[in-house]
Formats: sequence, structure tokens, C-alpha cells
Amino acid sequence: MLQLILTGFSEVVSPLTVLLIAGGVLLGIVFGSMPGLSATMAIALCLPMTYGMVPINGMALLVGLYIGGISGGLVAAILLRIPGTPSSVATCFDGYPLAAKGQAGKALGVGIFFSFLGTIFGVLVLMLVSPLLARFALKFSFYEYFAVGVFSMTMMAGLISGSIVKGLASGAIGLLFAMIGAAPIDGLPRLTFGFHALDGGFDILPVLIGLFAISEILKSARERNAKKPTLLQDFKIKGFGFTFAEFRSQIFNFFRSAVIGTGIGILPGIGGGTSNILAYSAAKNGSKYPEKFGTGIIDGIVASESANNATIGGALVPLLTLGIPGDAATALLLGGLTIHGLNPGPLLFDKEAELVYGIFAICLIANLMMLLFEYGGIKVFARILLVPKYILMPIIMVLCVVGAYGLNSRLFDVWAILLFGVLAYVLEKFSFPLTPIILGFILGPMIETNLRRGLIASKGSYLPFLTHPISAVFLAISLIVIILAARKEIRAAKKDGKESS
Amino acid sequence: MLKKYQDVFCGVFLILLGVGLYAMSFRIKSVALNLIKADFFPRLDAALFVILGLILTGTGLSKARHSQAEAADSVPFWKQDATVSMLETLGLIAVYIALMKPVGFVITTVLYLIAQMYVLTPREKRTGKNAVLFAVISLVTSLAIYLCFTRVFYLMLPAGILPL
Repeated sequence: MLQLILTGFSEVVSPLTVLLIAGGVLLGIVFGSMPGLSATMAIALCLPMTYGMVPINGMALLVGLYIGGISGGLVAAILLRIPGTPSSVATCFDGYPLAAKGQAGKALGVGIFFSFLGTIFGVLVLMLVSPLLARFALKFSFYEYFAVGVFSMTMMAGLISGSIVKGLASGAIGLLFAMIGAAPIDGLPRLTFGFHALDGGFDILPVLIGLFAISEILKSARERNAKKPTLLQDFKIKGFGFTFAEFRSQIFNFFRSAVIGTGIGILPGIGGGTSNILAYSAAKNGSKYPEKFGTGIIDGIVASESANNATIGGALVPLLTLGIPGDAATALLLGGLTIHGLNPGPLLFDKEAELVYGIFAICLIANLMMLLFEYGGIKVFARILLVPKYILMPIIMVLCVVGAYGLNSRLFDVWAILLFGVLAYVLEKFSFPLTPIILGFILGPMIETNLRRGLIASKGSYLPFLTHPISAVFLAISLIVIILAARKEIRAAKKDGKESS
Repeated sequence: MLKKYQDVFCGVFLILLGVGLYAMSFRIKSVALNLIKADFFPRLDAALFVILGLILTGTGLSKARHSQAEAADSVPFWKQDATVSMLETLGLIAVYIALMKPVGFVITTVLYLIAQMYVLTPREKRTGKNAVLFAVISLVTSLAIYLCFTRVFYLMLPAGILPL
């Protein structure tokens, strides 16, 4: 283990790799700070740059962006009361009130430091859990992969915030787009309407760029004449901004939030956008002084920022061990690995151990850089918030186009990002969540392929899906999740009916 | 009106999508190895759409019945400023993609950037000084992206009519 970790570090100590991590973290923080730009978008836009790099350098850039992007969201949350990314929604609740009291330096200091600790916690869990899980997953056959796919789909549907019906419908839409192109096993084209450009199906990158970047650009177009919030610019930051006694009072809160964050990260389909809010409400409910939450106490900032950064390490667990992304950003990392012919899964830990441990090392280095850059450059990042959207968004659009075109050097993929952008825009207008689309898109083929392969292996019998113990357990949990989710939905509907009548 | 029956519209749309997908699934050719063929998952998905559509329509109708009739917007949504600028943006992007291959990346990108920045700029900020700024930013960004991606990251971008 220690040997492998050292190998991992030796993989990434080359000047170029370190430079790429630094660049990724810096750019990530910028994307994270700007409301409307997110870590997911930063990774999508930079993915094309990694096509020509060796895998470890590509991952250095992408993981740097991921860590910088998730943490960077706190800048706008505290100084503008607008979350820079969905991961820092709960940071606004106490971060902005504290900053408004003239203690912006303290709010930022606490946020940055606990972001750092949160990431370390998540990455340590990743380093301990994923090799074990990978060894366990080596025994998986078609039956187990099918069951894990079904389990992931139901977890996503059951845990998504808002309407479960709409969440499931989004998943079904993702499934639909995944089916376009060659069918698994027999390779026959389906639902292509005779367009040969569709024979290969949609690539994940255009789908993600469309869903998470183009739709944001269309949304920002709507806000042309909207009122601008005021930015708190006068602040000082001394040391970390908080005392040791304050730090000690937050240790329990930190661990609870980090555990929530890592756990949410491991579960497929939900990421930092959910974990920060869950951790915040857990901190509030468990606190001796819940009435103070929302007035600008550091407990709220600690909960939100520890949780969203701990999610990073958690989200990488299912990605690396099973090839199932934990959230939208890791779905892109999946794309970044497969473009080099690397298929995440238990075999990756065997065949590409240097790369896997290299990724762990990158996480830790990127996290340290995030701490240094954010403390050192906080004034600059605050300034970046003043760059007008009308200059920024068009440039982002051009980068989206370049990214999509660069994939296969064809305009078809560029039209695809526009299609998915419009789709996401319309779906969001009708309050359908977007992440289940990605999950459906990735898990659909996994479920179908393994179901059909399993049935071929078992000569048409469904029994092995239930008699293989791991498969049976996952399917049973899925069933329970569905029943619980349905019960919750029915209760909510009944309550709704009673209240409005 | 649109807002009140939002879920009903979505539900009906999902049902139609499911029915359409089911009809399409009969045109999928497949090799029969066992019960599960290439048309099985499309049909499963179609069934899912219909079921979810029915639930959404049902809950949407009961929600609409209970909700108070809301006052209609004074300006229809397609005439609102926000919608207009969104549609302008959409149109610009479509023209940009359509012209990229014949004209080339650099020229279309400069023109797109200038037009898009103009569309997104609030009216009171559309000054002569800003116009010059937009033109300069567009030219520099476009050239920088083209050179950076073609020379450093080895991506092909349409050169078009410029001899770059």
C-alpha cells in the first residue's frame, strides 16, 4: 500500500504534471467562483486539451479543475450571496451574513480551511476503501454488474431532491439517448432514423457540454437586464481568520459533515449539490443553538464546505472501482479516461496501479495548492467576480464548440451540444433534474449489456441474477429503495392535497 | 395557464414519447438469441415513459384543480425581453455552427463573439467604447483559441477561407 502510494507520487512529480495540476486548480477556482460557471463546465471545456496528453497529465489537469472548482464556489457564496456552484448553496446561508457583519475575512478563512480538510478526509477514504472494493469487485460477473447498475439507477431516483416521477423521467430520457446507435451484443443500429452519423450513438462529452454548459449560456441570456447583486469587496484576511478554540469547537461538526459528504459522493448520481445542504441541516438539527443558524455563525460554513469537498473523494470511489460516476463531474472524468482506452473498473487497479495511485497523489497535491492559491489570491478571485457575464459567456460558448468539434472533427457533435443544451433548458424550465439524464445515459448500456450477456451465459435463465448472492443483495436493496421512495411520494401527494383543499 | 397545467403538459408529452418509442421499436432488427433482443430495452423505456406520464398527468390535474387561478401575464412570454434575448442567442449559435465549415473557424468566431456580446449586453451599456472593446476581445480570443488548439493541443478546427 505505502509502496504504491509512493509510486503514485513519483508518477506525478514531473514539472509538467505539477504545472498542469496548478493550472487546473487555478482555472477551477475561477470557474467555481463565477456563478453560472461550474466545476463540471470547467472539466468539460478542458477535456479536449487532454486528448493529446499522456493519461496521468490529463488526469492532473482534470482533477485539479474538479478540486479547485468545488472549493471555488465559496467565494461567490460568501461575497455575493450567490452560490458559485450548486455545491456551495448552503455556504451562502451563514457565509454571507457573517461577511455582511464585516467579517468576510473570517468567513472566507473558515470556508477555505475546511474545504481543505474536507478534501483530505474524502481522499483518505478513497485511498482506503477503493482498493478493497476493487478487489471485491474483481469477482463480479455479468449478473453482479447488472444488479449494481439497477441499484445505482434506483438510488439516484430515490434520493434525488424534488419530484421522484420527474427524476425517473429524466433517467428514462438519458436511457433513450443512450439507446440511439448500435445495440449492444448484436451491434445492429436502432433508433437512428437512417442517419449514419447516429450509427455510433451520442458521445458522453457532447451530452455533458450541452446539458451543463449550453443550457447555462441560454439561461444567462435571459438575465440580460437583471439587477446585479452587490459585491463585498472591503475585507482583510489575517492568518486563517479563526482562533484555535473556534477550530476545536468545530471538530465534531467537521467529522459529521465530512462523513455525510463522502457517503453522498459514493452514492451514484448525487454529489456536492446535495451533500452541502444535507450536512448543513444535520449541523443545524444537531446543534445546541439551531436558532443562530442563518445569522452568520461558522458552524454553517464548516458543515457546507467540509461536506462538498469530502464528496470529491467519495465520488471517485465508484468511478475508479466500478466505472460508475458518483456525479456529473466524475462522469466527465470517466470520459477523460476512456478516451485513452482506459476502462475504470477493478482491473484498473491491477493493470494501471501507477495511474490509480497517481490520481490519489494528484488529489492531495491539488488540495494543498487549492489552500495556498485561495489564501494567497482571494482578493484576485473576488475581483474576477466583476468580469461581466456578457463578455465571459460568449467565450465559454466558443470553447464548448471547440471541445465538441475536437472530439471527432465533425460538426455533428457541435449540433448535438446545441440539441442537448435546448433540451436541458426546456427540462429545467419544467423543473426536471438534469443529473439523472447522465446516469441513465451511462448506466443504461451497462444494465442492458450485462443483462443480455448474462442471459446468453445462463442460456436464457433469469435465475442466476437472484441466486448469485451479491447480485441478489443489490436487487433486494433496489426493491426496498423503490418501495420507500414510492411511499414517500404518495404521502407527499396526500399532504399536498390536504393542504390545498 | 401554461404554469398551472405545466405538469399535465409534461405528462401528456411523456405518454406521447412512450407511444412513439414503442411504435419505433418494431422497426428495430435484431438477432434472436433469447427473449431479450435489441428491441426489449426501447420497449421497457417506452413503458416507463407511459407510466410516468400517466402519474404526472394525474397529479398535475389534481394540483391544477386545487391551485388558484392566477392572473395572466400582461406581456405574453414570447414577447418578454428575457425570452427574446434567449431566442436571439439560440439563433446566433445555430448560424455560427452552420457557417463554421464553409467560412472557417476564425472568421465565424470573431463575428459570433461580437454579435453574442452585443445581444447579452444590457441596453444602457451598449456604448461605442464597449463596441470597440468587444471587437478587440473577439479578435484576440478567436485567434488565440485557434492557434492554441491547432498548434499546442493538436486539434483540427475548420480553417475555411483564411490561409492560417
